[in-house]
Amino acid sequence: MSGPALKGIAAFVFLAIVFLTGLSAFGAGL
Amino acid sequence: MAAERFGGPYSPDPRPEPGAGQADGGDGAPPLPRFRNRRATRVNILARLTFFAPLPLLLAGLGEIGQGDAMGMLGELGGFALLILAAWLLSEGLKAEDAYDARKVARPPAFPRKIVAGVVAGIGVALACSLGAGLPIPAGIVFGAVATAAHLLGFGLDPMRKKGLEGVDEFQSDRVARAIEGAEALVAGLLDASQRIGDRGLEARVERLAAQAREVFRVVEDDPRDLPRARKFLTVYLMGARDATAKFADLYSRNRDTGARTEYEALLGDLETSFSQHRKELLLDDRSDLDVEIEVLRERLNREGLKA
Repeated sequence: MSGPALKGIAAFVFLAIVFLTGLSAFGAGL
Repeated sequence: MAAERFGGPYSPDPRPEPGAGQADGGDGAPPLPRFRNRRATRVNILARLTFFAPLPLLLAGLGEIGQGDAMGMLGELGGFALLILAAWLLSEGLKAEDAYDARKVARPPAFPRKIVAGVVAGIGVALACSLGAGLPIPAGIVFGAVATAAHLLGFGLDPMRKKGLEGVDEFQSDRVARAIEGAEALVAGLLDASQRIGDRGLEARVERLAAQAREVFRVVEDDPRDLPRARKFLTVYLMGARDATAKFADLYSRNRDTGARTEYEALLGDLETSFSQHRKELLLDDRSDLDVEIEVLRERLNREGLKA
């Protein structure tokens, strides 16, 4: 796999972790 | 047949009168394009999204306040703050990286913003997971570590090496990098001040002046030995130009004083001439260096009978 694609996926994973953490914290608070 | 430029008498940049004095140092060369040596800002959409991804944490934190869960609020709002801090550090780091890429001689940033952004983001995720989402602490740490790893892999590390300093005296090139950094800041100040004039023609002239100044920077970067001679240019002239522009902008935006405008335009003309002269002199010096080099080598070849 090419470098830029790998970087894009990693950046996407980071964003997903942050977003989903927020959602689950939101869900836990309900 | 030459293409004809579009525009009428009321266009922002009126066509120059034939034979009128040009802002090119008067030697007939066309004026420098305004965007020479300037790059379009690269926009990394994923990096921008790091400002938005933590938003659910903000809502969750506010929800915890309603529920009366102090620790949960601390984890979520604290995590949110850390993640926004990380996003800001990342965008600053990307800007610094662009500036580093644009230059031939550059030092690594003193503060590795992107790496710190990754670590801060990891701490934020760990905090939000363990205090906010109610996961056990080891799980929070694992999520934080994965987030840091993904951040560093996805957005990269800061440039850590000195660039363009191979083969040159390190002390010297360090001085060049520092001097150019200072001069770039002066040019940025000059451009900022020119924005306040509120006159498109003058702003365009100042931008051209800035482009010329950057040309001189590139010459100095190419040959650090030019630094002592260019130092006056890099500090005194640019600082004077910036201060004069700031004062003129203050005055002109208040009373549109035509006398001051004429004087300021004369100053810009002088500066343009002096900048292009400066660059030519620096290049000329390189040329004479080359001539000496060639002369010496040819003489030597002659003496050793290698040449007929």
